[in-house]
Amino acid sequence: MRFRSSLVVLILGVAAASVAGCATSDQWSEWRQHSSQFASGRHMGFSLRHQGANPRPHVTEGDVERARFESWWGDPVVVSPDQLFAG
Amino acid sequence: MSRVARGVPAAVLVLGVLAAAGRTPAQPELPPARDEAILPPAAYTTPDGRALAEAHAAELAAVRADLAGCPAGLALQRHGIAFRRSRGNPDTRPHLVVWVWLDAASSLGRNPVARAGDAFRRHGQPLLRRLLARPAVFADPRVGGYGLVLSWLGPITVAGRPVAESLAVFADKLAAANFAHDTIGPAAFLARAEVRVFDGQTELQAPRIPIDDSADLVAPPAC
Repeated sequence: MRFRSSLVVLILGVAAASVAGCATSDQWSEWRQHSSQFASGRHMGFSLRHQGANPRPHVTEGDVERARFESWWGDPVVVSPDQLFAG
Repeated sequence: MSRVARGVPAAVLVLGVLAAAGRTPAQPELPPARDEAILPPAAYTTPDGRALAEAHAAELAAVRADLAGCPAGLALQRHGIAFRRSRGNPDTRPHLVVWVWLDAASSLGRNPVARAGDAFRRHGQPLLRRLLARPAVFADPRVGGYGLVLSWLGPITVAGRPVAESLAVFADKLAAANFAHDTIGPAAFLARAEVRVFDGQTELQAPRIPIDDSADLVAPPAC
């Protein structure tokens, strides 16, 4: 029985490490700022298409428009308003 | 260990997997909130910008409606229509600014500055003409000029994230009007404007936009 408990703890640890290892501190901070993982189903689909260490970007015009209006977070890396505007 | 106690880690594991996949159940998709294209007055950090947004709310809505009819491949940034001051010249009066996203075909070139030139060649004059088509804004002495921010997805990714390139142009009313009405060419206009180019969030120093007044401007599809 003790062996089985240790195995469960080990599985939990591996699962936590695998999830934690995928995100930077900034990404975790960004993740905590939202009440859901994705803004919409399309956002989730877009994210799943770009998994991996170096995914090939596949961005449609619809993705860009949806991302703007649904306020997707995480993608892409773009200049921030604070860099552009003083007020 | 009791059966209940053994079940707790399993439940935690299941919850952890569910949390990684999605923190809430799938949400029904909502239609795009087009009103979010305009920065709301309450979001302004300066009283003069907020006053302009309130005074010209109808004009800003007209700009948004005007741009909504533009071709596919041009999308408004959230809060992309606003009265803003350039960070590079914060002592000026607020400018009427529009921030749009272009598709990749609107910004061709071998490097970010070349792509910025191509984007401006295609969209600079038509967008400025649309902003200048609001005479109430042009006549308001509290408005210092006009600004364009053009963003597009560049060819590289960083850590799996696409990197957008951006061109920001701020100009006074006179320069903008002269360029919009073909009194001066694009090179002369950019020489009189504040021009900034960004590769992601990295600003390129002293960009020289490869455009000259003898070159034909590329007319985008009609809106």
